[in-house]
Amino acid sequence: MALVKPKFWINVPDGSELFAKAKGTNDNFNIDMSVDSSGSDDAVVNHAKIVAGVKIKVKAPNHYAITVRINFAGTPSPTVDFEAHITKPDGTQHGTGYNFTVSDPKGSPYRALIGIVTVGGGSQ
Amino acid sequence: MKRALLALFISLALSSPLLAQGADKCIEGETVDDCFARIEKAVIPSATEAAVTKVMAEANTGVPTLTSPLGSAVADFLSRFAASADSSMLSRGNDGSLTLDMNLGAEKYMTGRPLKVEAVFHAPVLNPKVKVGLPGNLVQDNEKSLNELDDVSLSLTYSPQNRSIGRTLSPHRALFQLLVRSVPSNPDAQKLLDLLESLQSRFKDQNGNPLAEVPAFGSPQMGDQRADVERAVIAAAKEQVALDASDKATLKANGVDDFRKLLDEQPQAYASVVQRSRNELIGPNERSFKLTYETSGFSLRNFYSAAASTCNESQLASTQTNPESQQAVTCLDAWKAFVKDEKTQRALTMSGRFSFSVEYSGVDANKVEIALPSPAAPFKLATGSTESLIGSLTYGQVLVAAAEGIREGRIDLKASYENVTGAKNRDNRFVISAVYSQKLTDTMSLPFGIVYANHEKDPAFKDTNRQLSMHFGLVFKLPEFGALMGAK
Repeated sequence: MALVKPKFWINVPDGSELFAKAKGTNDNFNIDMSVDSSGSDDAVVNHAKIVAGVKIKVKAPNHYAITVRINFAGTPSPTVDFEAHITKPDGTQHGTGYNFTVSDPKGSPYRALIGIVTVGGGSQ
Repeated sequence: MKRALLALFISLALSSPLLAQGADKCIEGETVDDCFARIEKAVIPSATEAAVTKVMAEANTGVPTLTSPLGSAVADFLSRFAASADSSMLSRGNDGSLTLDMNLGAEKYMTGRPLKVEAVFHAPVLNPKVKVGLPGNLVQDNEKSLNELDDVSLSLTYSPQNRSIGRTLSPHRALFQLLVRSVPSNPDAQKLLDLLESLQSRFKDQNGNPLAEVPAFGSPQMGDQRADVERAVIAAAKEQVALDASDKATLKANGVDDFRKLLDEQPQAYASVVQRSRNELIGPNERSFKLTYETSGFSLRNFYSAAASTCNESQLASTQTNPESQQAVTCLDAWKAFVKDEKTQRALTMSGRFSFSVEYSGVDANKVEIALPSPAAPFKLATGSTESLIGSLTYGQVLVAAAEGIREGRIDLKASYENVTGAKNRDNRFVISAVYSQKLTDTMSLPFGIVYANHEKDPAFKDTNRQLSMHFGLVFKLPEFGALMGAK
């Protein structure tokens, strides 16, 4: 129940951007994204950035395991829509977008995994 | 410690009985994403049932409307207000009314956008008494003369949201982020990505262009690598289940459930002003205002007081910019100490809520005069002005705390006084009620109440001299249809 269907993109060109955004029917939720990268420092993207819409540049030859976590607190509990897609350096979208909607009146956390495998680029 | 816990969860996931029932492999035609999700669900089979039961069990708060006019201090009167926070919308109701609502307030000064303005353009309908008093052609003429601006309600509501008052998360986000923070390490997911990296050059479409997503199991592109991909997908899916379980254990250890309870115990205040302006053919103008304040006496703000020197606003802000700092550890320790404190534990199990409200409503005098064909006298309708002022005081307290084998029992006491001026069929009245609600099961409760009302002068009750009445019933709450569907 608390695990959301994951999304994997392969053959992602070097320099592409992952765009991620969350929108709730109100602000009684907290979302963060932990970016576990094979080639650079790991990072946590916080709620404010994701709600505003965040762009993460992906660099080849790294690959990325990104954990999205959503926690609820406060009254009333919202419904949260999350969407993500990859834009290639030429401005076109890579593959299909990813989105899901979650809601839980009593606060169970949700977790989703996004996997990105890049192609091309130079050494790390 | 955390690694040991994770290892335990992984071993539990691996030993799940469902894995022995053939759920431990990817199906022909299934994508990597689909197989991953199915394996995750197979390892946690009872999650759906548990979630639905939880929705049903914990939705039972407050005195049920069945026993109205009994009131509860436990109901969240702000839910409807906050449900549309951060939105501005135009909607048409089933009765033809048009509603425009907007939430106002700069985030910097008023967290949670606490001001709401709403305009309702009611569908104009002729007053039934006017309709009855006029011949058919005049009814049609007068109905045609009405337009969308002839029956309009304007309302302004205000509900402050900050660390001391209000039940929204935003003012407490820094503390919440500290409690839910986690930086997962997922080596099996990385191994899956490593494998996909080594294979992706062969994943091409019919035109030879590289695929953006992994082809389905059983497809020609997957070829002889199927077993390796399947193994990696299953390992990564189980890892996610273990990480999820580990995460939940950490949240529990950090007192996140207690945070939620204490946030729901925050005081809340609400003020609203409504003006309804109508064409005299529709009805009189009306106005009202309402002020409500509710407090439980113990909530999150007690933490901020207790930790004023170790985890105040600026110290919490610094944990957001540097979550690995010593200050973050200090704040987390302060929170854990606060949650473990005997006073907090008592408040978490036996919470009482006190609410106070004042409500005024006034209706203007209205006069209608319509000329009728000679020799009939003009049609006349006149109503006087009325006013009412209602004050109420409600207290709700858990008397029997829920524990192993014991269901919660709660009492709600309410006193209200209504002062009426100008109404022929209503009089001043004083109402006191006491209701005891005993939960019988997670979804069923038995409310029992006594109501006293001094309505002896009220014409509406002229046929009875009873001032005391008793109410009891059996309440069974069904889960929301959406919750059931979402849990599937």
